[in-house]
Amino acid sequence: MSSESSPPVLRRSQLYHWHQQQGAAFAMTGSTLRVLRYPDEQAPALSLTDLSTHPRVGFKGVGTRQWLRQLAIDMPQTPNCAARQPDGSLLARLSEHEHLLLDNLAADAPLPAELLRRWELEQPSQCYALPRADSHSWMILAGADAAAMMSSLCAVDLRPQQFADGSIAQTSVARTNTIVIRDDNHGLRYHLLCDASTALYLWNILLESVTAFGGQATGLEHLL
Amino acid sequence: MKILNCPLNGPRNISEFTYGGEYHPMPDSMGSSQEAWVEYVFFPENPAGMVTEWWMHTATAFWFLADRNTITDEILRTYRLQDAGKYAHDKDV
Repeated sequence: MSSESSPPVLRRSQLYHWHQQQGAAFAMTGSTLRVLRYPDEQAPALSLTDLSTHPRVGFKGVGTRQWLRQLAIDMPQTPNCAARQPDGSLLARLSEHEHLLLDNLAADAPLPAELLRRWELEQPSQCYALPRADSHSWMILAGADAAAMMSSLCAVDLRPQQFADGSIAQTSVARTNTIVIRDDNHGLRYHLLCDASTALYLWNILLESVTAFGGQATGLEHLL
Repeated sequence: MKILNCPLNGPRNISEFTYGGEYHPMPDSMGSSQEAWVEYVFFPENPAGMVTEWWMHTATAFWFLADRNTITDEILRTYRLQDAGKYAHDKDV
């Protein structure tokens, strides 16, 4: 009877089995599974969190900026910069005409879904939706030591004095193509997005470095 | 590590880039002869000296041009395709 009333799990992370092995506590949001916490979690100063099941969407094409402007979205002025939206979500400009919207981590964050709904409704000219929730995994590295940790994995200088809040580096992290976005909305944080097929590889590499700096993998609760 | 300056992403390790061959302006798609297309597609000049080449920043799939000396391996400059006309005059540096 209870199985009939529970919604089916339609989306889980590429790292689901890893989370399961660690005994993670999951939460169901809609039909999506998210990691809330791990049993041994101790509010570490440096943390790595898997956000792969959180909403995100991309738009590309020469009409993209005009359409987003019509929707009163705050626009980054140059490529490789991100603009924070009033609801806390982040719009990253990856090239002249390509943008990526990351949600604000709150369970009720509607902006990526809302934009996708508007896009389907309006079919703006020369603006194409990109299914970034399917193509890319999303992790977040949080803590004051994050830049020092990343220095051994990434050739781009990510130190806060060189890589300002809202900066984007599309580069190689541990030899894997990765989008790195600095987001200081809640202390020093780096969003890391990689191809979904490389997620487990990158997660294990990052976690090894995080552990060396005294950090831990954490669930969503640690970030909120 | 050799550094290449991507016009979109800035300086990056050369390992982040993929070589794409010599750059030549594409023949007129409407009026060019078969010989012109064969020349364009199959016969690079492969000169010793300054060459304009296609390069791609792999992490972003961003294609751009680089003027490189094939004797010294010095990269003189990198730029977007739309800027190719600006530097055409000093290819024989």
